[in-house]
Amino acid sequence: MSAAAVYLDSPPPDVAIAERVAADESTRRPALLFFHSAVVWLVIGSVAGLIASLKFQFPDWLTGEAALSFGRVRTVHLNAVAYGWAGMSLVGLAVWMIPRLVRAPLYRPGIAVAAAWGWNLWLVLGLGAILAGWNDGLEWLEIPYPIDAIVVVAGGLMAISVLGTVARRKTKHFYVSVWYVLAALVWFPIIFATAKLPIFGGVEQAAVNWWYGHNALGLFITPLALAGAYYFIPKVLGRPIQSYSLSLVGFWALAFFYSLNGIHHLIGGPLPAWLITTSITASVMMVIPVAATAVNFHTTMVGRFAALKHSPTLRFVVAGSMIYTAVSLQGSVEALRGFNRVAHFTHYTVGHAHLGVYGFASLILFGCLYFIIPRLVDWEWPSDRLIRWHFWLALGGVAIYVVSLCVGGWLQGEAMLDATRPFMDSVNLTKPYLIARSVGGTLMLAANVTFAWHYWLVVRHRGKERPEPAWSAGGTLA
Amino acid sequence: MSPAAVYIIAICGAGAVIACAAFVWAALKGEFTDASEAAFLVFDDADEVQRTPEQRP
Repeated sequence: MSAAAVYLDSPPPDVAIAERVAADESTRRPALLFFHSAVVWLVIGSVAGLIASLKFQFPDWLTGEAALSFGRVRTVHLNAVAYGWAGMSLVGLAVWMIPRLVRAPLYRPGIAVAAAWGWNLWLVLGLGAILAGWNDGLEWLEIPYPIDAIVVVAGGLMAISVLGTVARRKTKHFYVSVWYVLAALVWFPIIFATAKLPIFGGVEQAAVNWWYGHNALGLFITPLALAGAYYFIPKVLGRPIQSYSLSLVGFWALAFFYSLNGIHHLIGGPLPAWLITTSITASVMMVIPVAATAVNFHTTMVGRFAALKHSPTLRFVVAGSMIYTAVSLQGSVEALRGFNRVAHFTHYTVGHAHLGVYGFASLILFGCLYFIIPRLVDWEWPSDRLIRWHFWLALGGVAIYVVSLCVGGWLQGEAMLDATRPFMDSVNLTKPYLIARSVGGTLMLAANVTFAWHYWLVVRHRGKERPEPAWSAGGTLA
Repeated sequence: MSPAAVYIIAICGAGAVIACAAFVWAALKGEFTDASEAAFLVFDDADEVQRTPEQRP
């Protein structure tokens, strides 16, 4: 980048608008392809998740076909929502956001389109392999090794497009969201390729597996979702983030502390004590970036909470950012040996994971899409009512799901540790909590289907044409 | 030490070098000085949030 191409971060308004329009135009095709695909994977993944959950109540249901057994359906759910919904929508968000923030059109949009098709091909083949009974047998890494080569190529193409855009930036600084996006796009290929190396065995393999599993959340999903929150909270409010310096502290603290967290999944396992202690320490140190981010998000909102009545974007993103604070602090506590001794190997962990991926990341993503999609398809969301239903179904569903599994999981853990009680006690006492889990899952599926239907309406320009945006202060969602 | 351990230490070491290099690069490029300027990068159009599709440029 030549120095002459760089100007201070405040170009004249007409230039800024022209650059933003050019940026949006350049990202329209690839971003829409990522988002369309993500919404399809969201519905597929949610249906698979509910089927898996209902099998706890109806264990003889859908047992005639091996492809529909719990082990395969549950694995399809995880991969479809983690890599299909969250992964593709977060990359789409990055594709849309980066050109706006660096004031340069997306570099080679065709490459990003090819990456989106490659990502879909990887998932179709990977999930097909899982349903057929062919998988690598490692949590979060089930898609077979040869098929993973496709996503490596797709990820490389994506990196070329995004890094090429950043290399042509016209801004003097990186906004904090750009830091998060760039970091995630560097971290993810490293952790994925490392965990997939066919050289680990036994305890080593378990350690690398959980190092990856936790980092997929913390070094890929989390930074991209936070990038979205750091963009949209100030954008919709029309006021900058409370402390920009603090946002950088949050980013660098996450960068330095997160990568060691995963080994706390193996507390009590046959690993060196120093390794587990290091991981617990890093998990507790995560309080620093989480506090920095939480303070920033929440103090930026102070005095502006009324805006939540009008803006679907803000409503979802703020809810997601509040849940980020909660789930992160819960995670730090879960890593402590005394707590982990009870909660580990129980439904508690499942509740925590859903609070992270759905309560935090997905709610933020929904909020981002409520802002982005009308700008990409030139049509406003037609129904406030569908947005309201989506929000409350999603929030209510995840709340029921997480509370029931955390309470049930804790009781399950205590029962398993009590040598005077038969093991079956720990199974039977979870039954009502697993019913509540299915109720919560049903509500989340209903929320996702509501969103997908509304998404289809806006993309197809169906429904009434609105005189004002859904986030206009003239209307209210409350 | 097993070959796998050597691999993972090498990969983590390379990752740490990349992270430290990025941090040093950011400091040298002035990312941490006048950083609050960057907070305004999200704003390119004061009215964007309130505009309908027809009103947008």
